[in-house]
Amino acid sequence: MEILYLLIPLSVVLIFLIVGIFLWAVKSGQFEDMEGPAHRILMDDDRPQSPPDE
Amino acid sequence: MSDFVSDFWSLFVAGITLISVIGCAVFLKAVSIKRSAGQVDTTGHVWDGDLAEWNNPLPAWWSWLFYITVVFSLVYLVLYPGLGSFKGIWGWSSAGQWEGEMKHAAETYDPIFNKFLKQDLKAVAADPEARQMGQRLFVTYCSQCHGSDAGGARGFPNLSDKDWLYGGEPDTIKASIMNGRNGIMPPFGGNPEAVGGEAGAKQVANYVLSLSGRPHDANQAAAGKPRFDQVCAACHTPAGTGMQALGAPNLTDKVWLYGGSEATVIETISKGRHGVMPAWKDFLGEAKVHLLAAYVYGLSEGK
Amino acid sequence: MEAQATYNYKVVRQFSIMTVVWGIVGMLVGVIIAAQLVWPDLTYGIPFLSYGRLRPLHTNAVIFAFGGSALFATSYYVVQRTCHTRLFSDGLAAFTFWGWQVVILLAAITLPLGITTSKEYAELEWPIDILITLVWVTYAVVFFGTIMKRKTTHIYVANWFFGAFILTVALLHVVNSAELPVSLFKSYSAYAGVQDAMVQWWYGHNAVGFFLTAGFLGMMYYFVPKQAGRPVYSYRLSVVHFWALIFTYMWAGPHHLHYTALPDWTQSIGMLFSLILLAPSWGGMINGIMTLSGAWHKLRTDPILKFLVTSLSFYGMSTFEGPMMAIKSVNALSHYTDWTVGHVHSGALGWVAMVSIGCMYYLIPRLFGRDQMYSIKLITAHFWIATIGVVLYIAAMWIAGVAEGLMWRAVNPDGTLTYSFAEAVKMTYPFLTIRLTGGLMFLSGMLIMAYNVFKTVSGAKAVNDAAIPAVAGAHA
Repeated sequence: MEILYLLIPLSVVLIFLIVGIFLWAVKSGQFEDMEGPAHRILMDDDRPQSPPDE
Repeated sequence: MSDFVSDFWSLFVAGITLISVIGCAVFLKAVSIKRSAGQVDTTGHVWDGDLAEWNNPLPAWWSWLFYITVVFSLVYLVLYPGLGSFKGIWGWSSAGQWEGEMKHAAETYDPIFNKFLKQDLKAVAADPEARQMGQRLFVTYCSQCHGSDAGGARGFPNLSDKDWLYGGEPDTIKASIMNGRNGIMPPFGGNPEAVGGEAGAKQVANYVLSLSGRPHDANQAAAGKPRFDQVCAACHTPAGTGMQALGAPNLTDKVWLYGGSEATVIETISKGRHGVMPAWKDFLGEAKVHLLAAYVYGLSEGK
Repeated sequence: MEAQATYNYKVVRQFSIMTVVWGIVGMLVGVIIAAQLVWPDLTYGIPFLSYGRLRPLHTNAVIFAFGGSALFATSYYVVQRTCHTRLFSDGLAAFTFWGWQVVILLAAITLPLGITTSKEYAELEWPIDILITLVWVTYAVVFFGTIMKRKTTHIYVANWFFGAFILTVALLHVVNSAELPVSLFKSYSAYAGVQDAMVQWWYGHNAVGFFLTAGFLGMMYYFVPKQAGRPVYSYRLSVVHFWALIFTYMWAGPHHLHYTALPDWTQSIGMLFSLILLAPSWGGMINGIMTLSGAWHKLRTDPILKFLVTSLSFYGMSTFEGPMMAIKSVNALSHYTDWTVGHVHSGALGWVAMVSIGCMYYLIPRLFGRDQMYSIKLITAHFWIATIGVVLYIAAMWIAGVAEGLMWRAVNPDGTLTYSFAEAVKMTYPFLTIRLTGGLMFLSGMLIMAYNVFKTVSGAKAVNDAAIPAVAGAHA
């Protein structure tokens, strides 16, 4: 299973990357608001007929 | 893990696995902390009142499902191999399971087969139970080439008739199955000296066709006879009746392993043929081969 | 006011139309090979129409051409609208469209010619692999570039899924397609034996996990709430199951290699993480279906919602079935049988295709300045014919697969096999016919869709420059 010499370090790098992104996300407040984003997309009216928001 | 030279790799893999499994549960625990009650949004964003009801926590049953799979995994990793070179306390391995099943099969089934091994092949062939067992073995191991009715296919002999390349005695059939056969017709096309190039091959082919009374060109056949006597007779005999010791087919009958048209016979002479019957001795063992030989013999005897 | 005050709808529109086109092509090839299993001499032994060459064409066409186009279209649409900004680069986005179409065309030419690496779902030869890499890196630049220049502080959860899908597929493709070319059309894998098998299924299963699951969950998290007009049931759950899903999927590959030369411990880990994957996978289903709680009445009248909800049900079903099939003792029965084929199609037709179809019905009118699709009745017709088709397909393959598994392992009292292989093949015959019927129904649904799309689009004015609404002050 020499292939693990490649896959394991790769996985470890990936884990660090994931953890890094996760910590960044937490730190930058991505997960502070756990409800607003769900509503925000609904307020974005993408009907072509509606006049653009000015 | 035998490829890994040091214990480090084993510990490394085991460590990462454990941390990852436990990490799933820790992560879930960390993010599912109960939110404090109250309508005011902590971020200070003001949302429409009734929409705020959608602040739902993780469904409890979903969280439990998650925890249960994690606990199951940890228990499994204690019992079974999974953490690096640690074998698991139950000592299970897929190789061990296979050996166990093979041992069980040997203990259970070998006596059934060995019972017939002591009997003469002709006697076995006369036994309906043995023939039935032989047929089951045949459709599993032989039918891919010889057909489920043993009728053969192009390049694979018909086993249900009385025509035999190597001989149809019970012991000869058994030897064919046990040790396999390697039937070689050498290619003569590349050697103009032997049959005389393309024209020569056509003449010899016509002579061969004449032996079994198939449509042929008499002049061509007459021209081919000397070449046949010189080159082919060594294996197929001067009369063309073949030689079972070598597996050289009888050319005077109506059985054609690769086809009996002029074009096919020319092809056989020019390019040669190579038929392989694999050896089954090691894979099936003598007892099963014994039953198969009896079954095949019985087929040709019309049983 | 910045210079670019509009969204790039052009590339979204191109990919949306091609989703329908490639869906029909890919499913047609699927129907042909399903028919070949019923009538083996159907294509008269013509080499480039043989099963072995058309099967990879079918998988590549439905996964990468149909599924890929749907993912490109929806991710470009969602990332723009949720980030309130135009795509990072119009030129690069156009390159991803044309580049991807060239990849698909090359696949359609080389695979029937028998030019293949023979690695499942990665059959394309090395020159095409290089083109895929270029397109994919460009895709990543466009997508993440757009995220970087977003006008909102928050990155909507759909984008997390799309982002993970794009990043991981890049990694999977580069590692698994490492190969040594010997000529323009032939290369050999950089790995050998069981190592190669391990890399192949690390790739293969993550292709399912990230291409066909994470990417389409991204789609789901935008279009289900939008179509239902209700916010996601639990935004918290969506974030939690996202991280759990992308973390655990990576480990699950070895379950494709149970009872092989792969070391036992590797198989065990693959099985366990597949089981742990159950909860993270179901997070998406629960969230999608619960989003509709209180809005169930809309299901009666809205066929697009029907598509989306049914797709989630199939998603939940196949992500339950998957972990079960990863358990070694179950796998011993199911492996190499038609059960696997049924499982894959409950995911591919039931989940991936149906969620994509639902999203396209949402998207296409908006991209062409229409209120809605030409005919809602035809969407409803499409929904029913597709659903019945999938159910027929899956049920036939389940029965055939389980029966195959049982017949293969049945032994007589003397230890000989009860059934020869050919007998098991013969048993599947009626089920292969039902499967063909199911597949034909699904394809017919796509043709209905094509007509509906054509009528919607023809005479319509393409919306090239949808204005970007100002970000609501409180949430900027």
